[in-house]
Amino acid sequence: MKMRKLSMIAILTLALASLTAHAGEVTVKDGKVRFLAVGKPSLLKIKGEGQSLNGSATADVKGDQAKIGGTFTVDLKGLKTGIGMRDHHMQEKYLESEKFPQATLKLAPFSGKLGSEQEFKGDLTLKGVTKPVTGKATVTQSKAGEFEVKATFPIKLTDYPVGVPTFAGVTVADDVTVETEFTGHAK
Amino acid sequence: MNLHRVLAALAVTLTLAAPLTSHAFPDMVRHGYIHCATCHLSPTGGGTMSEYGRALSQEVLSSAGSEKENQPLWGAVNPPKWLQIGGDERAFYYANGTPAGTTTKLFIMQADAELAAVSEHFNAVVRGGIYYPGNFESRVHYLQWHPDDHWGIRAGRFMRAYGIQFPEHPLATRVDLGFDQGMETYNLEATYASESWEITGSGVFGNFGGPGRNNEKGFVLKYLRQIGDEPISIGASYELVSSPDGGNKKVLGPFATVSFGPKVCWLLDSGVVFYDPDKKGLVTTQKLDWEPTQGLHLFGTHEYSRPDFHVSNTARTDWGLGAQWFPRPHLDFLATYRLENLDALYKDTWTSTVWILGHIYL
Repeated sequence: MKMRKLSMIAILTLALASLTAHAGEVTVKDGKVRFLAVGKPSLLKIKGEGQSLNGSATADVKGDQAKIGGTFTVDLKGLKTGIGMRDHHMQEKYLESEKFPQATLKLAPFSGKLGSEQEFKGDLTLKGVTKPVTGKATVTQSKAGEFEVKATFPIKLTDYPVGVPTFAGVTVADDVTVETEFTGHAK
Repeated sequence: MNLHRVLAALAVTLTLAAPLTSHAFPDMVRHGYIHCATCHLSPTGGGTMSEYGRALSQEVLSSAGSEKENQPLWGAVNPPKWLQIGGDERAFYYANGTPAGTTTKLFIMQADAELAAVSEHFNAVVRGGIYYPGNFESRVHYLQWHPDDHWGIRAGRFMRAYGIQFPEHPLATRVDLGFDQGMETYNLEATYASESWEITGSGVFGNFGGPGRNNEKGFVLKYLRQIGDEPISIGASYELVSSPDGGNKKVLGPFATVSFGPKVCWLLDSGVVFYDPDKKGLVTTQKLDWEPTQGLHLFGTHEYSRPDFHVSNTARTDWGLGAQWFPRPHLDFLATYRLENLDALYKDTWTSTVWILGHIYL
């Protein structure tokens, strides 16, 4: 009887482990990217959004611990701020998205407890210039082989050769917050 | 109401409507804009538009338009950067049906121009023109100082900050609380704005015995904040003024602008009024606006005004249905059908009014 009970526990443990454990490559497609900037002099909130984050990551999940890293690209032409004329200026004059169509984020592997906020480090390449970034990320797992990541990090526009974006008398402040949200699927 | 007369009046109105203006559009919170100063030099809205405001007029307010059209006089003039021009011309038709008969009128309500000399920290603004019934005056003139991105100080004659500055100035919370056009006062105003909230305090100094319709003196406070990152702003205003006849008036009113997505917006403004020694009243205005396609608005309004609860027949209730169309930048037409109940004059009888307005901002 005792042996049978132990066997049942072992089987259940193995089943749970196979449900939550994962190690290997995951692909990311159509993740969300948002940025929040402030326009001066009127302290105007400028929000941009795109659903154009793609890439691949390595994920190692054991129990409630996760380790994730990877490389992601963002299609800059897909970023919209809600005002067509402003988007045109942003794409043509500042991002020059015809010449530099993508930004790249290399995420150094970081680990922590699933569902809790962790600090991460990475490198963001924009218009051919790469600068280190640091931010916060939360990784959750809704089912085996699928991970949701929410990350946010600040950048300074003056770190990149984008100039000082100005549109119709409103100048964008140097500090911009970037948020990403994506789901990784096991290959 | 004779439909042909209304249509004829509409045609005449549209023909006459031609020159300058700048209204405030508080429903721009639908697009995430909570600060009036994003589009106007005045932190309380209306008046000369900023370059950004002109761009938005084309991009989010109008059915169609080109970049040139949003410029002063549709690009016909090219003033230097330090000079901004604006102004309003509004032609107005109304037909009012009461038990005593129907009256109609077509007239130019406003024809004015505004000049603003602007620099990084200082602005000087003057607006003047002809206002119905033919008075020539300057209702707005002020000096403005922006020591930094957050603070704004202003001194001169302008509409003090209270609640929602609806462009339809005859609405109850504007007319009955003392914020109608022509009721501008001399004020000393300070505004502090952050990304998500702003507070404005104004010392009110009446009109120094001038021709203004409002000689009240005292102060007004207004606080406004955005709820999170949502297209929702709420706030409250408080005014304490004394009128030339010696009585004090206190007005306290919450207000809200709530968007349900980018196409539907509900606006509420209010004022609970306390007059010395023990008179109390209530004034509210609500507006529900739906923009089915860019530039075309269908709206309903409700206004309730009872200046004295102790007197039973002082209440006024209005229901309105209307449409507003912005075919091109800085051009709009508005038509409203209103049902009004005036306890004092026509108890238990609803009177009907049609407003038709043509308006251009230069």
